[in-house]
Amino acid sequence: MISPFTALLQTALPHVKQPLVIAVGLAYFAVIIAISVWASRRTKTASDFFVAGHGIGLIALTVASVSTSVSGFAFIGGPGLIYTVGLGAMFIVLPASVTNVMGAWVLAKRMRLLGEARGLMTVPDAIGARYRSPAAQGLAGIAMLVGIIGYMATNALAMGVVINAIFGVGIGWGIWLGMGVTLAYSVAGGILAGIYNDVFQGTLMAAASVLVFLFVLKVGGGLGDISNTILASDPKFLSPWGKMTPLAALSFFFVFGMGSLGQPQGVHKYYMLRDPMQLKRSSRMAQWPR
Amino acid sequence: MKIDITRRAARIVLITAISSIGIGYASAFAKGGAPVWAPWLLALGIPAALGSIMVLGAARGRTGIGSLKLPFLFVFVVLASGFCLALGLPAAEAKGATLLLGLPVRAAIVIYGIGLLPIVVLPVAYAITFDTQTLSEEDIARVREMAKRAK
Repeated sequence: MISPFTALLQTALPHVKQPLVIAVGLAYFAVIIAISVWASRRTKTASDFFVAGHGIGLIALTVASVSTSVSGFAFIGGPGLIYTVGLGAMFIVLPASVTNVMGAWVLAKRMRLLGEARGLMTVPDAIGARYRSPAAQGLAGIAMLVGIIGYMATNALAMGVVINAIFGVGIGWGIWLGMGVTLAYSVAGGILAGIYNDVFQGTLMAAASVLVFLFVLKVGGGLGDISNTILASDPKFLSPWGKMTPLAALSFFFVFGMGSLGQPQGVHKYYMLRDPMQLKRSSRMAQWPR
Repeated sequence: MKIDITRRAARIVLITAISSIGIGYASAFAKGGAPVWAPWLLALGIPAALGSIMVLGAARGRTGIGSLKLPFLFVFVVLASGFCLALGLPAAEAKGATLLLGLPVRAAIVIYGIGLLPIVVLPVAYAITFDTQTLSEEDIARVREMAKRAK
């Protein structure tokens, strides 16, 4: 049995390679570079680099947070997983109906105020301050580093797949190119570049999702007709657990429900909010794009 | 004392819920696969765990969770009943099956119930109780004053 990555490399993906699509792809990279140059000119201190000087507004922060939590893992890999295992894969995104507000109650206020009062900039900083232990802080940093490798790997693969589909450069080169651009804007513009690139990408993802959803409904003749077509060929696909066992699907819900509280790239964003009182509207805004 | 009772109860529920989820997981390694009761442990344990974490996060001072009891109870009931209905209702996904809002009944319960209903209730509850349960201008002023003194 070959690994999914090997299977992906060996599969002849349909390359788009149309001039208009390539132009849109290049325009996308141009916007990313422009945002990064702008951010690098505004990044002057360590506080600017790590927490954007506590100066990000609520709308930008919300779009960036949702964009980060959806990411290539769910946006590119999610539809593929649903295609493979059916509706059970939805248990990865269903906890979002609860977790945004849960994060707001459990972490948002504490992280924002702790960051301001103690001048904290990273999640391990907060753990070190909470437990008054440099050892706990160091362990948190190591845990993040280990945990983020798998997460980044899935996102790098997603970038490789998309870049290959548009430019036809191969998945390997797509990964190098995508990671190179990400590394460049992260180093040059710090978190400010990250946030506003997330805002740009999140807006694109939201618009694309709505358009694709409407297009699919139109082509499929509505949700009822789509369901009937699937039920006729593969009834198990539309069982609540899909082709997975109930235990596996519920495990997805548990892992992604609880895990959202521990995602450093999400938790870290609470530090950046300009005004803590804006948290009042944060959970409502974060829920609607879902 | 009320806060202690609220938090203590939430901790007990959380530990019980996580234990039941752990037992459910562990049972998957049993010979012959997971027993039929294993997913039921997760179906009840997950809403209880998430609910108790929300209680621990929202509990404040002597007010406990105040009026948040109702939305938290609502979310627990929606999640638990959604999972249990999906587990308990007979599988009727087949050609010509009855559809609810375009999906087979069990799938509709999961997608619309578990995926959408909490979105309607929780953010509104959070915003309405924000000043009393989460943060007020006085809280921020107090924290800033403490930080200034510490420097």
